Amino acid sequence: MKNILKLAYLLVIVLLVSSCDLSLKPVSDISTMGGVDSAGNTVKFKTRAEMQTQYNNMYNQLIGNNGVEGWTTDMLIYSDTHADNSYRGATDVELTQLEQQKQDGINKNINRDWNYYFSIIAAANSVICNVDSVPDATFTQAERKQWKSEGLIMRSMMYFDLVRLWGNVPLIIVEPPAITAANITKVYPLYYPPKDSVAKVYRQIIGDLNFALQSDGAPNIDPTNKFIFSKTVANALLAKIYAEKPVRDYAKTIQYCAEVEKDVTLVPNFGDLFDMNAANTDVKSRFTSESIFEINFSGGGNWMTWMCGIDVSDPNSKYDWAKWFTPSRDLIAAFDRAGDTVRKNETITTGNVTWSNEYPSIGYPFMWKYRSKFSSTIKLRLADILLLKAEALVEQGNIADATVLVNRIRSRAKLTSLSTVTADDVLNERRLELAFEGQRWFDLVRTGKVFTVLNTLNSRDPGRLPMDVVTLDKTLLPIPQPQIDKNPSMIQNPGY
Amino acid sequence: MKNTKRHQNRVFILYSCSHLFQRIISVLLFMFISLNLMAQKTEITGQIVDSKNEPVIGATILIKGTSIGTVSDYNGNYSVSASPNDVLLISYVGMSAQQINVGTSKNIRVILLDDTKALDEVVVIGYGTVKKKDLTTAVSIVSTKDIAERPIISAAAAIQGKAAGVTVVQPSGEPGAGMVVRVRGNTSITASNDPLYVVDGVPMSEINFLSPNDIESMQILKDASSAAIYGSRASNGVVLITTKLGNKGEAKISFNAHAGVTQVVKQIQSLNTSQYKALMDEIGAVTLPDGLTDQTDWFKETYRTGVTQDYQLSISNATDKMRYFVSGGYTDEKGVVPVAYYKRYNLRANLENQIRSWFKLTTNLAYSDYTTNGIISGLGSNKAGVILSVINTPTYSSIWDPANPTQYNENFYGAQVTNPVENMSRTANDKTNNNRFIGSVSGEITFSPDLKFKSTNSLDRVYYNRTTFLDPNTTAYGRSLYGSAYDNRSLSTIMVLDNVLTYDKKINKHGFSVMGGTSFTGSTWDQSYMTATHFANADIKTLNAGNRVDPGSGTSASDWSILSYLGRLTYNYDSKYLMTANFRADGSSKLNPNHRWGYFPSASVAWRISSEEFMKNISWIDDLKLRGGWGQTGNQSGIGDYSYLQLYNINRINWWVTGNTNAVPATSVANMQNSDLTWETTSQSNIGVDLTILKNRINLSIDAYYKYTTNLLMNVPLPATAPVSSLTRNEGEMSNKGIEFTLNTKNLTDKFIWETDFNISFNRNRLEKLTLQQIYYYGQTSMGENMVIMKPGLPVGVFFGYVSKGVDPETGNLLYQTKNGDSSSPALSDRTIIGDPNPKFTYGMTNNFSYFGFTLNVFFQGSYGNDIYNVSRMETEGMYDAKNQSVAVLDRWERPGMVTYMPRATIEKTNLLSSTRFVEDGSYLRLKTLTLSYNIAGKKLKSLGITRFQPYLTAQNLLTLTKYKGFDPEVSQFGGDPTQLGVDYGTYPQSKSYIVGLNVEF
Repeated sequence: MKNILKLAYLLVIVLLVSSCDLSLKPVSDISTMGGVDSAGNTVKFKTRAEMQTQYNNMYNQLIGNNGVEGWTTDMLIYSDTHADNSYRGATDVELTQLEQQKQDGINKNINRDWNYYFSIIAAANSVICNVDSVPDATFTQAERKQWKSEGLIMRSMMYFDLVRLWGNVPLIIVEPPAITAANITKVYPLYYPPKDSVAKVYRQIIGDLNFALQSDGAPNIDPTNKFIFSKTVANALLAKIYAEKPVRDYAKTIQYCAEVEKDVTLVPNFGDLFDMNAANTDVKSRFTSESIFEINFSGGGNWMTWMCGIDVSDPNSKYDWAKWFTPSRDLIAAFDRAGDTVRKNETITTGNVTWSNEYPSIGYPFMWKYRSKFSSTIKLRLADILLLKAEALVEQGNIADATVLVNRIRSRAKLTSLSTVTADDVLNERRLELAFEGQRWFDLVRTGKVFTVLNTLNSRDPGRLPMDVVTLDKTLLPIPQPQIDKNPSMIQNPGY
Repeated sequence: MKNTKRHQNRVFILYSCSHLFQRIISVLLFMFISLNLMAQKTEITGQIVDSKNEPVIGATILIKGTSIGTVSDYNGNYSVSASPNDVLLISYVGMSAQQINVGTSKNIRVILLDDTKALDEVVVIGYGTVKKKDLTTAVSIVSTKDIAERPIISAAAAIQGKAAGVTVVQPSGEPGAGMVVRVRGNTSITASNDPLYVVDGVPMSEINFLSPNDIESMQILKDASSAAIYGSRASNGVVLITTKLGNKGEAKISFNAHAGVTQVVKQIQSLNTSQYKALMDEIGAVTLPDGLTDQTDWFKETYRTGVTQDYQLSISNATDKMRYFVSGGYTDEKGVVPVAYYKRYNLRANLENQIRSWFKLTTNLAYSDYTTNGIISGLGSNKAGVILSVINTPTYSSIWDPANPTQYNENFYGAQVTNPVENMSRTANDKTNNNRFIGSVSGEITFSPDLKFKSTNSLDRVYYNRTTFLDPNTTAYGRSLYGSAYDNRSLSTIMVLDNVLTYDKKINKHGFSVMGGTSFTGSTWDQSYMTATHFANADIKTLNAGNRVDPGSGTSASDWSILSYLGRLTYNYDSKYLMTANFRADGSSKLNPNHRWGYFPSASVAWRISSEEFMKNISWIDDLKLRGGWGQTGNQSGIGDYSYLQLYNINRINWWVTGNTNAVPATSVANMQNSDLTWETTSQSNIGVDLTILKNRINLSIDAYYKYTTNLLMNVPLPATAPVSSLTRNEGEMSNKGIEFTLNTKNLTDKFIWETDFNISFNRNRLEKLTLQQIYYYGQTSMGENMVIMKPGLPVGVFFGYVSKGVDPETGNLLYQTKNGDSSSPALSDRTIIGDPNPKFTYGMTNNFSYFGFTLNVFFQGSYGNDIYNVSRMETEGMYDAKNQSVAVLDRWERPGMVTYMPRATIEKTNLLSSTRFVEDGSYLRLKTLTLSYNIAGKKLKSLGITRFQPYLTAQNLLTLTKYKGFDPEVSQFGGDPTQLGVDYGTYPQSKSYIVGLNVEF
């Protein structure tokens, strides 16, 4: 009996000692950021290093799926397939709808892009809303303001797209606080914002861009790295914003275009923008003198190239599945009408394929501005700004100056100079210069030409699927139904 | 427990072949002869047989009041010297003992009957056992007696259709696919609804490692008053499994083998080339050249006859101080789709030692190595889904590209499909291997006959390794990556330390039992994952042969622990009035320290009416008991390991990009911190009645329950405008109520024996309350539309969409019911509830017929009133793009005036809205297993030392009665996910199997 007790005692002790640890800390998840500052306020990030992880995350958004699938690939569906530059290419129902102007609220791509935009905005807000409260003395005010300015430009760029694609959208400029049992009734509604007006969104982004343009705001453009939201990006955005109908002010467009012109110059050859090097191992040049904002894929992650054609850096790459963005007959005709072989050859290539959905299988056209996984997504470049300026000048009646600008672009494309230009000439020049760069649909809507151009397209382009009539309502996309399902304050756009 | 007796039976049968036994007999005989001479008694001879007239070998024949006796030999014969006044006591384990007055008889033949006092069976409950008659709670005892004659590979399959209140669904036919086991419905939306498994005292979440042949008994704690002793892990019921131990007698060697063929249950025909071309010309999705001919039968290229093999060998024995069971086995299932397989090696050693009179040591060691290789399912043929591509791939195509015969033919003239052979090859080397070791050692100290202390220490360690390899040449995807390989390894270790003190005291008719203890569970887990691409060729499949290591490679780890205090008090008055109360307190590392502890009480009572005096005269009632109980249980599986903390994702920066050389990672918010998070709590009331009548010929149990779950864990989705996509919180309330019947009858008990086990269960689930968001949408059709709605007042998982009103003969478009009459363009507000995947009831019936050595086992099982959302049919009858379709579309609308059920072909989606068009009745009645076995008995076999030689033939899924148009109504692509129940989306089909097996014992 003595032995038994001894043994039992031993067991109990051993087991009790080993049975008390309920305070476990995460092993491989970060949970230690933030804390309390000297004034007793809770802050999300304590040090500059913690804040930097958020700053890095902001740019990381654009090279991840949010950037490649959303802001690069799907964007070209809205800008070019949804307009007159390209066909759907593949038979996916989402693309088919957009080609036919039959998009609806359950289009999966529209929903994913809505999500992408707002997650990029959330990443920007994490910097914008927290950078000033980091209790780290080594984190200079200048740097804080610079990071905040970059965040504001990024957020503005997203909202500029959102407001043009969907119209009224929720304006998210603060981070809602965490929901707890104590604050739930107060805080929870903040997570379900209603739509804000287009005017309010423009007011906000114009204000934000002006903040970024202050002398100690966003960085100046860096010729060696255009993957930074610089002052030049802010100027270019403001130029484009002031050309939009709700806030139209051509004088300001011209003024901001002029600011941009101080920082960047046209490359001599159009092809330099998209070409590969001789060995096809990388792009010929990245961050050219013309580039204003360019998403850098020097690491090789731009899989957009698989969606539109072959990857020339990969000798094994071949035309396997039907590719997206098949250049339309209407676009090819536009190049041919203008005798524009330089830009046509840089914009469209052909290949021999096994299918014949939109063209005969021999000499099947493909979009050619993304040639390899190393290709940049060039979001803003000078030619866009110069032609925008020309558009504004024409609207102001300054045809002479507009003609000079258009001819600068034409001469680079080895085309003859025009003696005078009309608004249609500028629009057409933009089409040829900027096809598949995310511009065409927005150009048509901005200039009001979208109805005449698209509602006659079926008669001009025999390869295009039968389209629904484009009405004013249809110049906006539907709010994705899942977003309406999630948020009772969200109402569908008219016409859907 | 009857099973034990059978095994003991077999153990004793072993005597027949033993020389040792014969020697013992000789010695005994010699003794008796000498005794006889001394006592002047007469020689009594005779035979001991059982109810089937089979000899009982090794029965003990003892003269009452003496130590004189003998045992029966291998023919059941005995001889003993006794005087006419003596009384013979004849006994055998598992049979009712008999007393016979010798009298003047010289030859006494004794028929020993099976000890049918099922009520004295011992039932395992949490941290203890109880006699079945003293049970106060709802416990299902799963019959394990026919496991050896059923070709089942997973232990969960042994439960299907065998226990009332427990629904088991095999969600797909893929070898090694886990079974979905639900005890009394779903109680959770985002947390697991799987029961807790406790194997030999070790709690765990899955039992894939376990060979059904090792199972001695299986009990399911269904109500909270029985399960609450497992506290925060018991909301979904507890399956208690005890593995075998040896019995006294000669060591038994048992060998069980079965092998058979499997075939896919049916074929869905696809269009031939000319039919397909006609369809494409109509849709205009792709332009096909003329002159294409049928080249490939994709069904034939994809499905084959599968082969299943299973071999299990065990050795067991026991002495007064020791019992052991050692087993090993090999299982190999090759699926009907060539790349799919499941392989398992299992080893087990169970040992029980009475080291001292006061100390018993029990050791259970199990090791299992199992591997699965699957296919791509649940995806369309445009995303390499195998099952749908069998139908979606046009038949004009060949497997291999004629121009590049080492590459798959991907020329479909622009159609977005890849052929099924290519799709299978994508996962030909996608192998998941688990090595699992479960070891438990428990020591039991007996301080006094009343007071015992038991300490159990167990280790459950799983090494998981998934490897994939995609060759750099044959597939387009492989070429784009230059070949790719992935390797994920993880090691999970769960330690459980239980200390339990029990005190049993019986004072006259008052029986008390007190149990108290602690339990600590600690888990550590870590993993490494790595991807490499750019392989020179397909020769070497390990990652060292890939030139580029993916930057997404890394390692991670996490851990959790639970500390518990538990107690139980039972009171029993003469097995007539019974009371049990349980209590458990759980503290979890996953919760905020401020409210880390949860408390789970339960209580139950029972009244055994049949023990009352006034019932004594009613002889046809053997047992009648009323039970009632209430308790609370928890579910913590939905809580992340650290989810009360604010967590951040670590996102790497591409360091090889200019300027990033020395970058450190970016972070992004991973969750919305919820420091209030706690476990789901289910309160359950149960009332039940057990009735046994007509000398144990009829057993009936009825249970009714009401379960109410609060603090339902939910991911409240937030709009895209929020910084995180969802908020995890305790958000809602849900109820399940139901009634279940179990009826076991012994219809015929003579030479021809017929026994029937029947059970049927009704469960009604309802979401009662949500706090924040009131409506949720889940699931997705292949058109991207959510088709499951969840809101208070409805059961979870109901289908949502439009009511289809057939095809408009003028336009060929599907008409939908709207507020303004039927229309082909309904408004979103016209959507309504269009189906419910929850069955109205499920049932199972086993009929066992035996005649001499023949046994016929007929097992039916079914489900009634559940709907299936056939998303597959959107892809095979949708006619919206260039995919090939099933022959059903030959009935499509083609010209105005045509009356048909199949709408026109069009690239538009109007006919493919979520609607009743794709919702089907999933009720079925299935002849799950039909087994014929023959126990060959004979002296020849006995002289070879073989005590049992039982070959059998089995057919599985032989016959299914259903209206369902897909492969099989037993389908759930997303397994047990309650938000996507009953969805068929390119799911690996079920198969029929024909199997021969053999059970041999030495």
